[in-house]
Amino acid sequence: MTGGKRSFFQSGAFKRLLFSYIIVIVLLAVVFSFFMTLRTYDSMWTEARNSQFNRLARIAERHGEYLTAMQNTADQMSISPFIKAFVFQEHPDMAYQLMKYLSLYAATNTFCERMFLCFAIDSHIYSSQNSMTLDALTSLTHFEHFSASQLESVLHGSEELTILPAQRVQGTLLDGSSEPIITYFMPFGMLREERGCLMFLVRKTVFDEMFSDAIATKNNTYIFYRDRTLVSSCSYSIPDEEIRSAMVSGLDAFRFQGDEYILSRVTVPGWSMEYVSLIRSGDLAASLAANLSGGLIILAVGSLLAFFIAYRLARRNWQPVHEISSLLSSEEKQGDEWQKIKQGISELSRQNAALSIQLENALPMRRHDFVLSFLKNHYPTRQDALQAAAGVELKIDRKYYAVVLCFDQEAGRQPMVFAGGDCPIPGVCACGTELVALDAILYLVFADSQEALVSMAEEIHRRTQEQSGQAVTTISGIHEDFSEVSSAYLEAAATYDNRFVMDADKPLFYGSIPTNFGEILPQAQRITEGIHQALLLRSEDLLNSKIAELLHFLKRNSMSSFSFRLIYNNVIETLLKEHMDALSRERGAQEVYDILMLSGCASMDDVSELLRRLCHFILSCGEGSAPAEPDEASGDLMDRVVGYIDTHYYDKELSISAIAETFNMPNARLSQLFKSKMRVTPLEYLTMLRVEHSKDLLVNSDLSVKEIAEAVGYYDAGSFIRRFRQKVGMTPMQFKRSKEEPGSDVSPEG
Amino acid sequence: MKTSRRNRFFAFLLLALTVLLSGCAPDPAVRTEGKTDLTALQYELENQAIDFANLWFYRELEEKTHVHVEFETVRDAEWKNRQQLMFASGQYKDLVLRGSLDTEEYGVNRHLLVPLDTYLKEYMPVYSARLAESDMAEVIPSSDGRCYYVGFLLSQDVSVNGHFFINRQWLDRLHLEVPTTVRELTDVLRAFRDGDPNGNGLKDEVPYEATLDDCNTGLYNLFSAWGIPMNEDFVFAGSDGIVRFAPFQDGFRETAEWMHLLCEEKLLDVESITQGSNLWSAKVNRNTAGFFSYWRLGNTALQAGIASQFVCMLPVHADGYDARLSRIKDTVEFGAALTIQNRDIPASLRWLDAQMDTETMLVSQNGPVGEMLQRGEDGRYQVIAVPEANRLYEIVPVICGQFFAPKEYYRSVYVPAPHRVEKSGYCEAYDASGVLEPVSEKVLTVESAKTSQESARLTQLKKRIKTVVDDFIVNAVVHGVTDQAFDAFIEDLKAEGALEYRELYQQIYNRHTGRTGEAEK
Repeated sequence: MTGGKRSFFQSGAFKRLLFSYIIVIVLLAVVFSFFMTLRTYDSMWTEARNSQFNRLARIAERHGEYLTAMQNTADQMSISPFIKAFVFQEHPDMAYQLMKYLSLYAATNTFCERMFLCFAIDSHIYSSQNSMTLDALTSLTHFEHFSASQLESVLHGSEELTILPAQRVQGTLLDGSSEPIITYFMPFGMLREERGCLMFLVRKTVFDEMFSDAIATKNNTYIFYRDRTLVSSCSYSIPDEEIRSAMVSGLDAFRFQGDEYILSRVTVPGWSMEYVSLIRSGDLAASLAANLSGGLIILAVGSLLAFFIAYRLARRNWQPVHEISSLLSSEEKQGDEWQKIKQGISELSRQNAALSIQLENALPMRRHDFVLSFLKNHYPTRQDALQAAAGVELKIDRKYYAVVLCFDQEAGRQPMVFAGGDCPIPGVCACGTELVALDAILYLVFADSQEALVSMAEEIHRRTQEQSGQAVTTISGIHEDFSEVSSAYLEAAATYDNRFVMDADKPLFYGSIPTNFGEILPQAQRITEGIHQALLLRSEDLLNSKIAELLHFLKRNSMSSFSFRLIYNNVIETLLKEHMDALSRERGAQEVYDILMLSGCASMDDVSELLRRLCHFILSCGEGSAPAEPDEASGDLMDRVVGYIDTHYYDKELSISAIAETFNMPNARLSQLFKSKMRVTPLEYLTMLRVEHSKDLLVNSDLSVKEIAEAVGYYDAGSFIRRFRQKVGMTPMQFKRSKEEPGSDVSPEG
Repeated sequence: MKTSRRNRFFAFLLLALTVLLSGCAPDPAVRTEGKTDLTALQYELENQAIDFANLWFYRELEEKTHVHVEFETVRDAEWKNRQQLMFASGQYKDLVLRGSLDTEEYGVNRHLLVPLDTYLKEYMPVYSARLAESDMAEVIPSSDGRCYYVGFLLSQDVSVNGHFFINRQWLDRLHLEVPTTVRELTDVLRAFRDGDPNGNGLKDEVPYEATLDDCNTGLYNLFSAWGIPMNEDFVFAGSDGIVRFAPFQDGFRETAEWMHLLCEEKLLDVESITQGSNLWSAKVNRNTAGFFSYWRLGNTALQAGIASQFVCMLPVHADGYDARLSRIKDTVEFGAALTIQNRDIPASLRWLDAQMDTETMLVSQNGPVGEMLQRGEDGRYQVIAVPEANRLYEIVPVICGQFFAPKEYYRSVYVPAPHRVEKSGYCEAYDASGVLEPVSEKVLTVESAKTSQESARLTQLKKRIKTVVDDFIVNAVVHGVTDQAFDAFIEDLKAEGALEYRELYQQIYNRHTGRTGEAEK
């Protein structure tokens, strides 16, 4: 476990994988952070400006409410029937009534600390609690930056709104306290003698409440009235003149003592007010950093998680790399698995390329392919075969050829080549291939003369014996036509089957073996004809019966392998020739029938299966192709003709003329269409049908031959017997007896 | 197994992110300092601005109780209007502190105050225990039997509101005696007006400085000269059990006429009818006044140099009349109430009860221990320093804070300060001279239990009557009193329900005393 971990951490591939993942994560994090920073920075700037503007708008609105309330009070004083200008010394009782009236306003004012009223014609000033002379007022109350004379002047002479900036007011007006106060003078009264002035004292704390929503402790808000700073709350030491200068210049930002300040403002022309807010860029940047810190913490946590996942992924993906590298390189050395894999793949590629080149360039291999193709008769014409041979540097354009089989006890031996200068015998060309299924080497020997061909076979035998010490060499008959190569192969194989009765020390020639082939061939042809008929009739039952009959025949005659091969080959070739067109034949030869397949059959069951597959393939090809049907109408007509024959075969008067008359068509036309569809003439079909039915009656009834002949449509027994023997190869009685004696067989002659 | 580990890992990740994100979100309902926020409508003296928000005492209290109170201060003149405005607006403060509050109206009738009975023992144990030991527990419940307010009680054994003071230095300079009759006082005032007693060479003396409508510095005190113990409720009870209506008494017109004479001869500052106590004290402190009535001299709005010139004198009396001044007594005043919109009743009551702790309570009246207060060997607290010119209000709320000290308890924990001793001396002298009414008007107006309807009706009638009375006095001061004007005044009073007003008080007083009072003759 420890060693595994060590190799795991020491692995260069793991490090590279992990490093790659981390690089990707870091890149993503950096890009994301950069994007978020830019986005946050922009949004904070925008938000800061908007929020400052909104703040100022709110303050302006609130301040506007105060101003409006004061203006409304002044307006009400102007039109109130209870408030008439008077002189205190003449009407002190009116002062008492006035104070009661003022107390109503005082109770509803929440922003105003004190409200005083002064008539232009009077020397007194009134509030809800006091009345006093202006002299008393000025002697008892002290404005920090506003003299008593100025106060009296404004109270008696002001005709428009006057506002005193925040300043300390100490004395009776505020019950002895001293705190910053903003003073509003609001004139009222339409007529000169009714004119007066309302003086509102508003604590600066009221404004501080309005400013309390400033960013944290950075209160940086100004209210300018005309050219004066009415009230401000600012943590920056910037002279008001600097700000006003920037405002006059219309700047949104300005620099002071190296710092940049962003300036927001809202103007209310009706009241001659300007509301200004300042933010130092550095403070905004600090705020941005503070805001980003939270995001960075989340990013850090996310990165930790990502690193963990990267570690797991790297470890998971490293394992197959490690396995592959171990397979490709057995050397236990420190190093990078990627390098090992790269080198291993490179080596494999190189080897593969060399092998491919070797294989492609290997003449023996190509010659091997040629020999097999030739043996399987894949070359349609002689010219095609010659061209193919020339491609593998073989000159086979010679008059004679034979198949030579060398059975060697030693496995894995490579075939010899005798071509061109390598050939010890002039006028001869020989090339071989290994038949693994037979443990043999097959040679095709081409020669200009029969003598040279035999000499070459003997030379092959001699050399084979020299190499292995013991070998059996068989030679087929000498052929000229390339299409007979399958027969030649069978001849060579059959000769091997007879090696025990021949002298195996010498090459065994096909012509030297004894044979009874001529005796059994007619019977085999008859059975083949039966299979042919079953295929024509498309009777699967009949087909299976005929195949079973063939196999039974082959077994019962105890024929040599040679005979068996010849008969079997004859059956196959007959079926292919009669029932398949060129394309189907080619496919059939490739997919169903192969001369070498027969050699691969281990038992009669394999042979039976091979034959059945071929027959069913023929049946399936016939269903799909229907090549002889001229048209659909005639096809239907022939179906009806077949059906008519099937149901009237027992009619002695049934003839080609009778059928043609029934279907209202000429005899020749009927025969032509019927053969196109059924591959046999109507008369042949009728004969086959009558023979098959007679077979059934022979086996399953006690009728005499004469009665059976009449039952199946013959006038006399002689015609029936002749036709039966022609088709079945035996007389009806012989057939009946053969069926009555199970296990016995009857030779055609017997 | 692998799936389980993977699930645990993602669960942990989710938890971590949740914790991380939840940590970033602020909770707006909780103050960062973890304190409870409350708002209060706070009564403020007319002549004494107090910065409640920055007062040392309340900052200390906040640290102790973790309750932060935002004060909205309202001066005496606007107190009732502001109360009405608040309750009419539907947006109530959590607390109403000091001044006065019509608990019958806002508690019993309109159900806008929190009944405190069920909370007091649990959340105000100090106050509850002290209240139970006093004889004031029966006074606090309203007509429905519920307690709607926390009482304010400062038992100083004081029997008089405003005493009369005359400038002894001026008398001495003019070789005058302290007057005892209306006639003598008038002459002394004339001498003050004409004799330049302040010695500044200017004829700036205004002999009598007053305010209008109270029994401290107000003109109401002058009615004592004609034997009318005028008070701010306009009714008083005699030893015969009869409740009398002050404006209907003999001497009321004569007093008014005397006021006019004083004004006409500039013996009385005409601005007395329109000035508040702050301007009054400012004028007295200018050393232009020779006579006034006031709570006491020491530790008040008066400068020490000015106060030292004055001496207390007994009320003067008109010929054929005995002086009768309104008698007061220790009564439970309004201390605090909780509106039904109070957001945290337990915190509110704990904050109030913390002020009832003996030392805290005495500090609220006298200043911090060590600087202005110290504890003697007998365990009682004693005042050791008094800031001048009411500077005490810059540190502690004094009478604007919460205080509940019944007589016996107060004596056991507190050695009276010199200024309180001064006041007690004046009261004893007045009481001994027999110028005080036999029955305190507080028995009639405070201690006698009223039904809710009676209380509401009395409040309504009093407001109307006060307007008529004050208007009459102002007119009398400025224009004098004619038969027509006085008859109209009487008719106006009757029209505004003066008879019903007196009769209601008679019934209330009868119930209180258990005897059947007679109709006013």
